[in-house]
Amino acid sequence: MDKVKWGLRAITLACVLVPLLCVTVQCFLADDLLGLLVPPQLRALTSPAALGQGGDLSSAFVALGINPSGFEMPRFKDLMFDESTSTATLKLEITSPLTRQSITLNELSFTVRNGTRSFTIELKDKVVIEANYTGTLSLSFSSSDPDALRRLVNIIKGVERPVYVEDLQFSDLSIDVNGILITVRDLGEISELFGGKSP
Amino acid sequence: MKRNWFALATGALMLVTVASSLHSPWWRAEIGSGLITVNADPFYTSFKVFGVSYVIPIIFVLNVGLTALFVASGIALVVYTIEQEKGYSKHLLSFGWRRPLYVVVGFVAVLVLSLHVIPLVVNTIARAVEVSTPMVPLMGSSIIRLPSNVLNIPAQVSITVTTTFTHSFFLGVATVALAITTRACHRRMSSANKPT
Repeated sequence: MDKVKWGLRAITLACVLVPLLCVTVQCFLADDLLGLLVPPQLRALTSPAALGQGGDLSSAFVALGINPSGFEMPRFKDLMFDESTSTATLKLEITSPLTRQSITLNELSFTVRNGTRSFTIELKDKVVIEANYTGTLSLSFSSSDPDALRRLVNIIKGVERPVYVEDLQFSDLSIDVNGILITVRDLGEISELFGGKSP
Repeated sequence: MKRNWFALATGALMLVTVASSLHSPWWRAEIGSGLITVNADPFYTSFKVFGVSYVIPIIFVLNVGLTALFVASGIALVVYTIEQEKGYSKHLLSFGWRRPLYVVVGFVAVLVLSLHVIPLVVNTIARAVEVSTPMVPLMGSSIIRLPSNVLNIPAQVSITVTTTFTHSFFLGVATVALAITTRACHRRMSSANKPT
């Protein structure tokens, strides 16, 4: 009976100590005790090779699911207004910064003000950017005031230049990307936002 | 001699709990919509950032050890049911029945402690950041608001955090209930078998 009792105690000790000793001894022999606490993918980032001593940082980024060349701002491709559906479509050239995770734009809305008059523009449908995607992204916007939206598209494209254009202000920007909600109360005037492109 | 079938059920449920944990962690926290996922489990703890899974080596080996111990305890209870009349069977029961209780209580204690201790550590190290205590609710959803001075932009950034206990955890709790019943049943059977 005592043999069983001691045998069970030995199993308890072995189950706890054997795996723990295996990894501790392995890290100790490799002189890498930090390896006990830091996941191997992150160890690649903190290794001397990756810290600017001739190492390849981009391969470390790839291991982390981040596109090393993906930190590029989206490039404007086209903006048009569809009269039949009263929607504005913005096309952007993008490269997803993530190689293993899709990005979902759940919400994008903002308000355009001209003195006391204002109207809200919002994303019609959520947009999913697949992991590692490079190409054109289409964003369709609708508005409570379709005519104002059409005029805004024309102003941004430089087709129209009404007298009130300098007073147009963007505000209450709300963006929901993968559950991260970004809100900006005041975006400033249209001329500040679009710089040289604005009329 | 009557058999303690609760022991067999507990042993089997312990093995099912381990198998279930490998597919569904006991507790899951999702920061954003799948951007960061924390899978806390006594048998396999991991976290996922931008679709890449990470395992902390020291926690992984502790998980492996606990899995082996839990499986051994489950087997011990099954053997106890078969060899109940043997003198050593009470050692098998003693070895097996407490394990689910220790694991479930230990897991909840570590989880609650982590949710309270981590914010204190973060607030001490990074004074610009203010993380509330507890960081996230044990179960439910909350919104973490990042202070604007951290990002240095005139915007408010908030992140949705959803936490949940999965069916694996409740399977573990059911195992504890069954293990306690096994122990109670053994005590009743022992007292009934004692000569008067």
